[in-house]
Amino acid sequence: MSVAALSAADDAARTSDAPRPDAGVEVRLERLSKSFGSVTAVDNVNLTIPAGAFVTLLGPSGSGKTTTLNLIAGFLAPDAGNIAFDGRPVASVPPHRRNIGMVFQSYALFPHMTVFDNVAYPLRMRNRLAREALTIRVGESLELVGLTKLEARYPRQLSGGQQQRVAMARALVSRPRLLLMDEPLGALDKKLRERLQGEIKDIHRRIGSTFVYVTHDQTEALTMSDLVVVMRDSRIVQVGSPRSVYEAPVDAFVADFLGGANLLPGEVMANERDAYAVRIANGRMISVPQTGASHAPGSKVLVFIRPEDVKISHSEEMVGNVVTTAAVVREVLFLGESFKVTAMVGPHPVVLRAPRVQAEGIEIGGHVMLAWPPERSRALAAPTGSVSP
Amino acid sequence: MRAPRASLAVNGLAGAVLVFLLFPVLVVVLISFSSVDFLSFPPPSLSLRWYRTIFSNFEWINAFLLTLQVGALTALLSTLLGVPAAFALSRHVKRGQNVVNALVLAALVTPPIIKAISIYLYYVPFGLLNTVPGLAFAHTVSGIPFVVINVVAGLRGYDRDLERAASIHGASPLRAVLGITLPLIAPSIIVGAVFAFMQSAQELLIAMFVLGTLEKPLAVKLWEGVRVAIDPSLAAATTSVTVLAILGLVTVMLAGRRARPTRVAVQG
Ligand SMILES: Nc1ncnc2c1ncn2[C@@H]1O[C@H](COP(=O)(O)OP(=O)(O)O)[C@@H](O)[C@H]1O
Ligand SMILES: [Mg+2]
Repeated sequence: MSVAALSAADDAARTSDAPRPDAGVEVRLERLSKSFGSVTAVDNVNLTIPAGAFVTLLGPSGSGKTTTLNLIAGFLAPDAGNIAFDGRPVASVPPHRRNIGMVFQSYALFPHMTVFDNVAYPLRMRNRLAREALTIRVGESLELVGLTKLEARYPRQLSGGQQQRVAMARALVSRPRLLLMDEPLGALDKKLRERLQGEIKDIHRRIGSTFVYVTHDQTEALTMSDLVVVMRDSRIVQVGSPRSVYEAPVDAFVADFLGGANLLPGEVMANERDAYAVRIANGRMISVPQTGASHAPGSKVLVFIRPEDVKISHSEEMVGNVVTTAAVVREVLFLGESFKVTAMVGPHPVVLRAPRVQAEGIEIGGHVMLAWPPERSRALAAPTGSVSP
Repeated sequence: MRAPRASLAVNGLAGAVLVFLLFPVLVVVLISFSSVDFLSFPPPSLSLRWYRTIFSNFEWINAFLLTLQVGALTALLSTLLGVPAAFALSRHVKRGQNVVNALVLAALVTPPIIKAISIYLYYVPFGLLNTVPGLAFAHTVSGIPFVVINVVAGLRGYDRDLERAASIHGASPLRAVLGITLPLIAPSIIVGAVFAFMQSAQELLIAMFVLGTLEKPLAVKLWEGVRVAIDPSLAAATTSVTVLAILGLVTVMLAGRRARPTRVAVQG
């Protein structure tokens, strides 16, 4: 292909806003397992990553995220199970033929090469391009990540954020249909991290490749992903959209890991139509919708409710379909736009956010009413060994 | 008050030890610039006549060239064999690494006379006696451990993700190692090769067994010179060898300095 034809094709690709429908690859993991000696790093993982999706593996350190990514990349061979790209098994395909781009946690920029040579590396290995075409492609990739005029520098002469962008440009330059990122923003400060989150999301929208993103930061996972995969102890515990994992966690671990969660111990007293009647620590019966796992009467549960769904008031009067319970204020923290209030329901704390107007007259030791819409709460199985109500 | 005095004492002691160790070298260096025919210290006056003598003498020049030939071949062979061995050792030997390490080091601690005799007996049927490659092969046995030790250390400090980054972006395993890993651990390889060279240049016993009395590298020539007739030309030759060793050390230090920014970049 001539240079002119190539850049004409590029122009066409750039002017059409939507990425090509086949821009991303579908990745399927089937019963995937991997151990290191006696340590199980990935345990029977099943997951389908849709073509073109932004999927985040979210979990605490040591939960098996990097190992899963290394299995997809082909750096490690699974002990059991299969990986398929677009339905084709890749077990016999070595990493350099999987056509993947990758951003490493340490960036892994080649220290003995300039920015230009780093970004050109995948093109030199994969595509035989004339020098002009190569220069154009490298320039485009650097432009995509918002980095220009630094081509002649060496990685050690760049700031952390600039190194991160070079790593992105290198991973994207050969237009891979799959991009793997292992905590790519982990080493950056909060402000820069937030900006780059937006930019990465924007790049995903423009190129349409499948992105598999690893992080232990729940905000990052919620803001960036189409699909969040929550991992714990080498296993997947929940897969869903950011909203569904945030609003309907399957267990107390997910509830807590995705953000501040109130978990009130209680006991299921009865099943009424589509709701449980749960008695909580202060003796009050509250209604919790029956969704997800079912609980028999008599079983111990944790009633889950997000702090921002809990309202506070001084009077018994609460309008609308709400669950109410009495509580005693233990702590009030001024956060700026709101107050963070901790109130005790029996021996258990409930945290909530009160806007400044609502917080008028709330003082430590005061008796208040807490209320929340029952549909925002969930009954989660109490982990064995938890305190009984 | 106490700490400075203590450190003064330590520094003084260190200085004394250094003088004790370096004094003989200093004597030899000074004598090499002597203007008279016999060994006297300090020399009555200075001149370059002994350097002119050895560098215009065929035997000394041949000895010098032979040492360079054998040393270069030794360094090359030690590198070619030692680098792959270091990769295998640090990446594929999971259990029994200590045993393999001990085996590698065994080549260093075997008494030289035993090495010399066994190599002599071994070489007779192969016709390797009295050949430059023969001596280089023998020196390579002791040169390999220097390369292996240095390269294993280099690989330990090397971020494996760099090689993975090359491989995921399209480089075959061979291209990833040649294009990324080897250039980045080059300082360790250079240090190993320099040590292998210097080890060969100073080795006497095996050289005498393998080359007999026909061809003499510097070490053998010096040894014979000491036995036959002592004059300041020996000191001049010794000083030349010392300069060679210092050049080697400088190379090692420069290689080490080149390595540092690499490592910083890998971490940051
Ligand atoms: N090369 C390895 N050798 C031994 N254990 C490992 C290795 N890589 C990972 N592990 C172990 O496997 C588990 C999962 O690790 P990892 O996938 O890195 O988790 P994450 O990326 O979620 O922090 C951890 O217990 C870790 O110690
Ligand atoms: Mg990790």
